[in-house]
Amino acid sequence: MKNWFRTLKALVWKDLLQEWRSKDMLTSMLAFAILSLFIFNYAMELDPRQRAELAAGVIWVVIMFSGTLGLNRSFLAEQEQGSFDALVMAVPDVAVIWLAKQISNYLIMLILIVITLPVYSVLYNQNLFVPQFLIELVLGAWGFSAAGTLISSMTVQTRMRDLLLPVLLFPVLMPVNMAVVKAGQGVLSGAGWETYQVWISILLVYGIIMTTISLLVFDYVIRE
Amino acid sequence: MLLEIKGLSKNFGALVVVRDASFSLESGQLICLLGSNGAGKTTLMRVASGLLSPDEGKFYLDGTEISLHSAQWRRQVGLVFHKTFLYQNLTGVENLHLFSQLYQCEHSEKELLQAIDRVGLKSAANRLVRIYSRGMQQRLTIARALLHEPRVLILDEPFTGLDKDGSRVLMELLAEVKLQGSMVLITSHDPGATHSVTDGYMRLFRAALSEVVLVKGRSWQELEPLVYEDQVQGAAAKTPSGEGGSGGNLG
Amino acid sequence: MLLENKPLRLLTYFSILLVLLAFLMVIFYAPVELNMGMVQKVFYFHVSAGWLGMLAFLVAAISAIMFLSKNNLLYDHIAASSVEIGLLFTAIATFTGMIWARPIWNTWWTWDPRLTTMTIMAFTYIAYILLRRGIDEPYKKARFGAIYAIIGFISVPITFFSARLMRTIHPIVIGGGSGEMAMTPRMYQTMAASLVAFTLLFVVLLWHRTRLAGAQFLMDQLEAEQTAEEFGEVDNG
Repeated sequence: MKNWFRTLKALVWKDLLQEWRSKDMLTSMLAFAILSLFIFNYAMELDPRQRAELAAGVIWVVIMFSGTLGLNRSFLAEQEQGSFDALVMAVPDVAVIWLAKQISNYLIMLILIVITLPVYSVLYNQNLFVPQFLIELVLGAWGFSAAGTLISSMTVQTRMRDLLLPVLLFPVLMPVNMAVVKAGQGVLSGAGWETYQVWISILLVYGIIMTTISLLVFDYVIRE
Repeated sequence: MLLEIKGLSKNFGALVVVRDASFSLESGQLICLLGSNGAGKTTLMRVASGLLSPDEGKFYLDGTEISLHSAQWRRQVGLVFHKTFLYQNLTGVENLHLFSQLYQCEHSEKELLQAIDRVGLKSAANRLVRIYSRGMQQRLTIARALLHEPRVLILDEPFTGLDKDGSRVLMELLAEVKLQGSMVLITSHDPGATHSVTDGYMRLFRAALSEVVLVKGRSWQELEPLVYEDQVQGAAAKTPSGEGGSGGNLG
Repeated sequence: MLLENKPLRLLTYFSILLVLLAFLMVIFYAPVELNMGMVQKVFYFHVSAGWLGMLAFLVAAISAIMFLSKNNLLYDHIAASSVEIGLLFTAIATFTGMIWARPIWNTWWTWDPRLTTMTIMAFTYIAYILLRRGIDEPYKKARFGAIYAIIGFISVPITFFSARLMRTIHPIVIGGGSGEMAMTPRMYQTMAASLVAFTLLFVVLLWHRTRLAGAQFLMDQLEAEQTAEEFGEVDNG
């Protein structure tokens, strides 16, 4: 078990160090996210009351689309240099490769969220730093990147790659989308905890299920 | 240590790559696998490494059956394939450090630098692999494969991209690991070049694997006709009839 | 090939007969519903198609698990065939639903949970087919397809549950107790006949499609073997 965690740590460190050096994923994700926020402004010039209700939806769509952009790159290093093979040979348990990638993707998603929220707050003059809203995004992002990490590990090995990821990912993400947007509306319109706690539970359950399945089936993704 | 592979078959969906192949490998032995492009050498190497599951075949280590899929087996193998397995945005040392950690080897910084020095990359140790030439990457790949002192080395065209000096270093390393009792399986398009460290040749032709022709002090010129002649006869006997493994997967 | 398989042939004719019978029952036997009129009759096919859409996904998910544990391509052929047929029936269910909804709800489309879930399910089916088209190696195609079929199948009930949390206007026909639509015995009989007929049709279609997938696989195999053989002639080095 101790070995398992050390392997995990080494793999996550490898991903983050590479990302820190190149900043490939994060820069394009952030640029895309902030541009999208601008576009939303022109697409729907809203009066402040409607804006409050739509904030959760806009934020989540922006995060999800930029997140997908990043997921497309996340296995590129492994695919291009063939390091999947080297990792499979080295690790005691193949599932740890998935978990490490999931954790690094998740951390990058969190950075994206942490930067996107204040930008939205400034642009649209609305405070989004409500604890419940943050909890909900943090849970939603886990489910998103869990499904996304598993699916992108497959699409990166197909002919269509980037084209395929959103097509495969968005249908299975439907519950997360509904839950994040609904709960966000509840939180930001000042409704009580009991009105949206069920959505939080859905996010939790979804995250747990996706994580479990991924750990179970990842073996079949990278081993032939 | 003795590794025996018996009755190995692998279809790639529609294509029969290897049919009923058997061979064995002893400690300190280096066997060179020959075959033309597309003959399935790489596939056979992948199966032997445990990356690819065979359709049929049994594997014995010192007489006891083992699963090539098990982590215990995989972690005893060192691999050099066509792709470098290196992370481009890490330095040479960081790449080695990563795999040292994955293998739980606890190499010190100094040991890692020694390993890098061994393949002649000392001056580039702290540069990003991205700026390495193909030859330098190949050297690092070899250092990476040997890092955890594997008992089995599987090398697919390891001389690709290596210059004269690099090839000399690799030959020295091969002689060294043989002395340490590791077994080596290697493919090469230029068998004459590695002849001095090679103990035997076998050839993959039309999905059939020949018997191993042992060197026994003979030169490559003497062996060449033997290796190829044996293969032609073997292939004639085992020519695929279009049946066999084909429909087996349909249950 | 059909002629060689007697049970399948008989079953095929039988299912065609049953579907015709169900058609006749819907048209002549089932009464015209008072409030909705003739358009209500589309619902016999709508419910059957919707049920088959779900059943197909279940069959695909089970075959997917079987493939992963047994590594036998037969299960992959079943899964892929089931998804194709499921997509067809899901599309039928969606369109018949729209035909019915236009006069009754006065709209072609609503964000009703069942409708939403069925449509998302159709997109999952389409994604599954696209994923498979992007992979050449049959076992990899099967493994990736199986994994996607499993996560797709598991996300469907969560999607349904989520969509249901938003208010529904869909009539609860079966097991709803105080549903908005009261069914007469004749309606029940017609419904049952239609369900049985279509389920049998599904089995027959799945059987045919799986055989076809197996034949296709064998043909690819022979073709590749022949190519290798021809290529092998010049390969003597």
